[in-house]
Amino acid sequence: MSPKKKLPDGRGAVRRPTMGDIAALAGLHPSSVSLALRDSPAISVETRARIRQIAQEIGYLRDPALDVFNFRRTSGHPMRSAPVLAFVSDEASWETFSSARARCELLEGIVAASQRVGFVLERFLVGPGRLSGPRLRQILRTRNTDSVVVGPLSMQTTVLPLDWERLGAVRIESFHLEPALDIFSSNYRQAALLAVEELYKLGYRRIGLALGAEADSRLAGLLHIGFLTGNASVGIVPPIPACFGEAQEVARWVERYDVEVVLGLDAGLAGRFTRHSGVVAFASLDLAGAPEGTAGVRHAHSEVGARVVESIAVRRYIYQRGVPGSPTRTFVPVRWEAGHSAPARL
Amino acid sequence: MSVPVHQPTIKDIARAAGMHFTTVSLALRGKSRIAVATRERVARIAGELGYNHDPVAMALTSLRSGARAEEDRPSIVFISNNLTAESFADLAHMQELLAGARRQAERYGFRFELLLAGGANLNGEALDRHLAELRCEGIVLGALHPGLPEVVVDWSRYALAKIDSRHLALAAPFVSNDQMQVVRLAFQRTRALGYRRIGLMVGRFDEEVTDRQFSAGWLIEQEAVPAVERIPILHYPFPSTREERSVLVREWVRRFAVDAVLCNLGAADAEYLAAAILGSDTGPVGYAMLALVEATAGLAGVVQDCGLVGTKAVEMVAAGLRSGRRGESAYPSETYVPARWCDGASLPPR
Repeated sequence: MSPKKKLPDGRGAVRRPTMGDIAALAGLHPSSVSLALRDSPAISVETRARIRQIAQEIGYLRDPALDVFNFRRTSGHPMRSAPVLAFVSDEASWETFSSARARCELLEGIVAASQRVGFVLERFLVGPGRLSGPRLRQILRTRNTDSVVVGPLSMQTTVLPLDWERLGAVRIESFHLEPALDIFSSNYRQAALLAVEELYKLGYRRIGLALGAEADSRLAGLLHIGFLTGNASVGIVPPIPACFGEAQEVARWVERYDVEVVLGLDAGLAGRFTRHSGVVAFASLDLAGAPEGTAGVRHAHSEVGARVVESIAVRRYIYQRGVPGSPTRTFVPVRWEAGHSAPARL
Repeated sequence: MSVPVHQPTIKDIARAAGMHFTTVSLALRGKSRIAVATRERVARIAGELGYNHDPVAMALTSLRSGARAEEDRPSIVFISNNLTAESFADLAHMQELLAGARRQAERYGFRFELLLAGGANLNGEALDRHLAELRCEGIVLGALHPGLPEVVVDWSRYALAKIDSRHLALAAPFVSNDQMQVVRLAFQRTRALGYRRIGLMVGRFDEEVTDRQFSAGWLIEQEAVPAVERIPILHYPFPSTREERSVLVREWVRRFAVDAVLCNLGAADAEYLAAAILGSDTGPVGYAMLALVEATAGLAGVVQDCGLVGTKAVEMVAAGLRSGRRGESAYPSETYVPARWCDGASLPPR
């Protein structure tokens, strides 16, 4: 059977390939093809890979009517068979996960969007004392879970050995992670760029960036990049060198470079230092969880969560799985909020 | 998670409208055999009941063998106001981009249409009418040229994405090549080849429309090299002719003793660039082009993946439709597609 054939009504449209076509090409029974496309463990891994390849070659798409049916069912009524979206974190516990306001907002966005598009969300913790990678792989395989959201992971988790070829997956931040999945993140580069520009408008000229070394590398240097670009854009050349040290080092650095305003992630740096003209101002690079009235950048973490889920949902429609050849990065924009921690300079 | 509420179906609309559900179905799909007044009434009731059709699901349904004629399938429309070679760095860029977008739209079951709009002929209400005839659900705006007439559409009707065209005020998901990664990759490779006075030339306009992505990549790479190796970026003006750019490059190479030029343009600009730096009296100068469409004999540089840019733009439209997000977006995302490096004779190891 030819995989593409004209319709008998002569309208010239091409008939869509069916599982029967794949079965004919693969020399298998259609029900084996069906099982293979659903990643049934009853079919060997090699056969599943071969079937998927043939399906892709002849442009097979799952029966859309059935999909619509499934979508309506899962979005309208609670059903046991609703597709599962696995959210993977490497925090020590869900309590520590929730200790950061930014992560809470992110998860809220994921939960709300999952409900909207008809996913049942399941959460997993990996790492020492929690699930190992192979154990999580086994769980996902046994439960036939085919959609995964990873992260944001700490620098301690550098690899995650799951069956990526059978998963539709993306990562949140986790720039350092193997495999290189598509990334969704708040726009940290824009955050620092915007902050420098806004502080410049407020009259600040000696703007300093103070970050923990781990935070800088965890975000792939994006805050530092935005800081450098912002300084170049307002004409502060050269900028004050960024400080990647601990609190004591920050104090020495503020003094040495006569810093007027500290840009950082740690709201504890607000009001901590003084110079000859008074208290050193502070602006937060992520206002989530910062005290009321702090100046800085407001992130839309829940929007990041929503985009991630939507992306997984449309991937699922067309069996888009595996690690992409070229991982893309999608950033959600941030906004500046004025506050008394960085008042306008006269 | 709270218990999902009952979602209204076409049968609910049918009951409220006092008609058969198949009539509702036809009306919602804009079939001409249903009277216009009826179609409008059904649409209004659907709106009141909060009925959501799922356009991606509808598009996929239409893929079933013989389910519907081709022209009945909903479409994603690519709109540009300037579908010529000048609108992209290179005509080949555009072809790849369109191919990527078309492939992805068809994967989701949408028809893919290309429209040259703007100006008096196809704009505003006339354009909206035409889009309705095409059963347009989503729009990808691409390569909108700033000097040409604006495209005016009732954006709230469609899921949107834009490619490049950053000057456009429309708040829609944005997809582009990752120019920051391009610059970083090119700098690292050039340095690994032994060059120590590497310079970047980039259009002032390109810098602005990418929100300074080129400088961003450049500045972070400069952090890692000794101060004596740092060379200021050559920002050439927009518009500028090849002759003007040649003069600027020649002076800049001489003044800063540049030994390798990274240029943000494509293969078409390589020839005059080579001629301009050949006349330099500071010794041999290598060069790399940062906007190649394919590996090009004799040229080192970065090959950009325009096909994936098109693919991702359509994916953004589909994600918007999937979530019922139409019109301008409160948080328009930015998606960046990476590129790959190619060695070439224009930048031999030093």
